[in-house]
Amino acid sequence: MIVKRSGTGFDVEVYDWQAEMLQSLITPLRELMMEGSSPVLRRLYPTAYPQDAEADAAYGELVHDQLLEQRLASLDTLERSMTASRLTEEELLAWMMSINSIRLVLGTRLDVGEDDEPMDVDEDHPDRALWLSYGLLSQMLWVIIDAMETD
Amino acid sequence: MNLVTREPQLIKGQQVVAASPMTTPAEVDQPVDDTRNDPDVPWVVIVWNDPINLMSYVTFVLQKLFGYSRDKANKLMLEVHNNGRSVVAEGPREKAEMDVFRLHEYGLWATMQQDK
Repeated sequence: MIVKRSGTGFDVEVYDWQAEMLQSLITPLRELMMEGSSPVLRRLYPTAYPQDAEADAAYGELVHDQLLEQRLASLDTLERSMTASRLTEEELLAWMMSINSIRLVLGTRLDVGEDDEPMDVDEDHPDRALWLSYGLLSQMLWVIIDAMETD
Repeated sequence: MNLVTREPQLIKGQQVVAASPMTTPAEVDQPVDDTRNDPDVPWVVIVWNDPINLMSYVTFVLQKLFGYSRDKANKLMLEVHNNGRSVVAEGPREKAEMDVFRLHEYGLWATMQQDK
């Protein structure tokens, strides 16, 4: 993936294999999010009031649908513009938020720890493909953040 | 690639995760908070360390949402990383809740409580 600030937007290039990988994650994630009950979604809806269950329930009720809709819209933007060569800042932000959402779900599913090295996963590890995807998504996120921080 | 195939393991996995830093706030055994409803006590917004969000991502989000300089955002991120948590904003309850919501939109692990 290449992302470079240019004028008011960004020049981007996502390689075919990266687009295929993203698509292979977007589709099941969207289904999971719309179905809504999987424990791997936990990190998408964090606790706001750890010391007050009642306030937290009210907060969750207030924001859950907004968080869901915003994430689905960002996933749609990523899916729609994945093969584009130009992006607005808003579109690139949607990419960033979507890739991070996928990482949150994948990382929860893999129970990622601070010291894990996703790209060094054993060749015979049953979740090797997911670990590598997780590592590649991290790299994509670095590229995007780096481009957005450059004037 | 199917995220759902190993779903049954996730329930087991969740118990493992429950012992991780991600769920610390829920497990902290706090004394009863007598000032909870005192409107004069300001609220603080806390970002907690988690093993998934990248350090550069946390710094970027803090700059973006709060308009902090890169140096300030980086300092707060390092507090999160090294101390497990950092107070990133404070104010009245409504503002704190909006800040928490915006941090949740970006997938950060943020909570709020009254500062005592």
